[in-house]
Amino acid sequence: MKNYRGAVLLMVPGIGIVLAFLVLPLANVVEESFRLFEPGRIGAAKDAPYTLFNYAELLNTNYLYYFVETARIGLIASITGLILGFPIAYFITRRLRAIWRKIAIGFLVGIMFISTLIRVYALQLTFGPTGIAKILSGLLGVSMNGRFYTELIVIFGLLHYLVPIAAITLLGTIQNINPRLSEAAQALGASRWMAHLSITVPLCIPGLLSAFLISFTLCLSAFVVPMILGKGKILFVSNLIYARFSEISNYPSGSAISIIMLVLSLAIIYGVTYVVSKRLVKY
Amino acid sequence: MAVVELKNVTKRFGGFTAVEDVTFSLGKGDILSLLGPSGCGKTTTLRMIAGFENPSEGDVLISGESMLGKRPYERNVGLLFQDYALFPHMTVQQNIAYGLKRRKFDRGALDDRVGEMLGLVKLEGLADRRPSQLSGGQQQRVALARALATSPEVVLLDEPLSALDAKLRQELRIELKQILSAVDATTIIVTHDQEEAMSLGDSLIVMNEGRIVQEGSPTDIYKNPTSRFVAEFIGRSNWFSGKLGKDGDDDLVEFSISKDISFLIHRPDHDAGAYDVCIRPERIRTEDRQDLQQISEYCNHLQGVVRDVAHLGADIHTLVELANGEMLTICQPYTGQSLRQHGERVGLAFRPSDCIVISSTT
Repeated sequence: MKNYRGAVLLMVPGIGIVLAFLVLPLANVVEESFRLFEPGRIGAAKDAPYTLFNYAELLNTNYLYYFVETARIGLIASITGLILGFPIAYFITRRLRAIWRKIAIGFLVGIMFISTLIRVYALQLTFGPTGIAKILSGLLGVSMNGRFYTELIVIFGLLHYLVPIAAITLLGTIQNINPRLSEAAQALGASRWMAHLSITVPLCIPGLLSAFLISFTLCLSAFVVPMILGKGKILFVSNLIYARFSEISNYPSGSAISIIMLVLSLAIIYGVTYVVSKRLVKY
Repeated sequence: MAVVELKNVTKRFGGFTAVEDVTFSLGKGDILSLLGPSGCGKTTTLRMIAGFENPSEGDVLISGESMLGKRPYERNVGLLFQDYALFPHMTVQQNIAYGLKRRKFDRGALDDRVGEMLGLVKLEGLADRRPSQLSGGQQQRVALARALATSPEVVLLDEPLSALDAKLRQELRIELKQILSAVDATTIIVTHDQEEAMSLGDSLIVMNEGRIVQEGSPTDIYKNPTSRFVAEFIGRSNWFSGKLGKDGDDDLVEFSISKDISFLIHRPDHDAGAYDVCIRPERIRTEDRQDLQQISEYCNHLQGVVRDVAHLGADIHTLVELANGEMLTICQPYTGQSLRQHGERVGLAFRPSDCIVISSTT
């Protein structure tokens, strides 16, 4: 306990910064979300009365739709990202030689450093009207201006960074699984697939969980991807928040949506973590 | 009929030959140790029997049936890994039941068999524990129970005792042997540890650079190594190089290691020109000089000066320097005698039959 005071002193600047730049603005958002908004103003008046209207308003099905759509597309994209990322991670850790492994990991990390804007326009160029939109939508039997095709392109946009993130997150998990376990299972009479499904995959659950949570929270907060690739047909909650703040200057409503989003995200993270750690991970 | 038979098995990885022309067979209940330094091909041999690798040439037969192209799960082989490879997300019970489930045992038979295996390895009452809650020795027993549960035709053990500390090793070695003989398991043990190989195996195969260099009973190989590699790999040894001199009585011949130092050895069978002689440290006796002439059966006598004495508990290791500067290690059981002193002059006595003669070219 001798250095206790010293340790506290060292923490002061960090705590100060967290308070000043994180907690305080967030508290401000919470406060704003309970203020009454008068149309035409920029934000709520200083002395505006407190109200629950900004929250009550969100129960309207039109608003709920944004939340449901964000969660639905986010879920599809996250799970697809995991399904695509897992074999990549498995291949890199188990099949590649050291030098190629480094190159592959470097490539994955490299992709993540590309600006979202660039990847979005690259996808737009490739899969948009000037690209192969006609061919691809024709193959799928849908209109290239229709909702389905737009949603598909948004999911592509999300996958562009979800796949590398999922693969990188899973690298460590797979690396830590003893390859002898799968061999032991095979020696005991399990086919390769059976060994994979009954041994390797269950042991990857903690890694799959963290990869899923990272992917899903990234989807929930996605902004540029739905804005540009969604072409107004697909709007995520972030886009709604943006519209509230910058287009109609309804700060209280934007704040309320942000708070709901924050609470929902945290609830999902804790909920999923709790269920998985209690039910599935037993060792 | 042989349970396991390897016929001229060769395995190449690219341009590297890991195993070359290996042939051996095992009958029901035999325990064979494959011994060699790391990279000698013993593990590759084991993996070919288990089905994780396919031979480039030759054939692996189990119960007379060729295993070429058969996957591990299509063979009936029990495998115990060095690190046990217990499934961490399963209980002891589930670990042991894993192979039985794959072989479609029904519920009742499965429970009976798991119970039986737990009894065999003396782990009743721990069925619901997870591997992380067990000690190293207990984990090893679970791994053994898991490997034996499906009554495999052949049991493969990869360095079974190396992960355990010295005291536990001794205990588990005895237990392992009892368990293997209780189920009459045909067993192949792969190890680089000569003690493990010699104590567990009824017969021994020494491998080096992919080839079998010698096979026989542990005692036979220790007593009559046919190459310097085997003699050095198994047990400690003192080496002399020298020339054959004039003949002595019977089949004895003089072996001179320097101008004034020579002793008698048995005449080697083949005339190879140059020879190395190996004397095991425990075969040499140190004597006070005056007593030397009285012990006639130790007809070889050398003189030396004690350079180091180490008392290791049950054994005493004495380092003696000969007149030509060569050092010899002598290992004697401690029976309460007083230890030699540094700088003390001693006589060394050994029999011609204690000298292992190996042609220098091997």
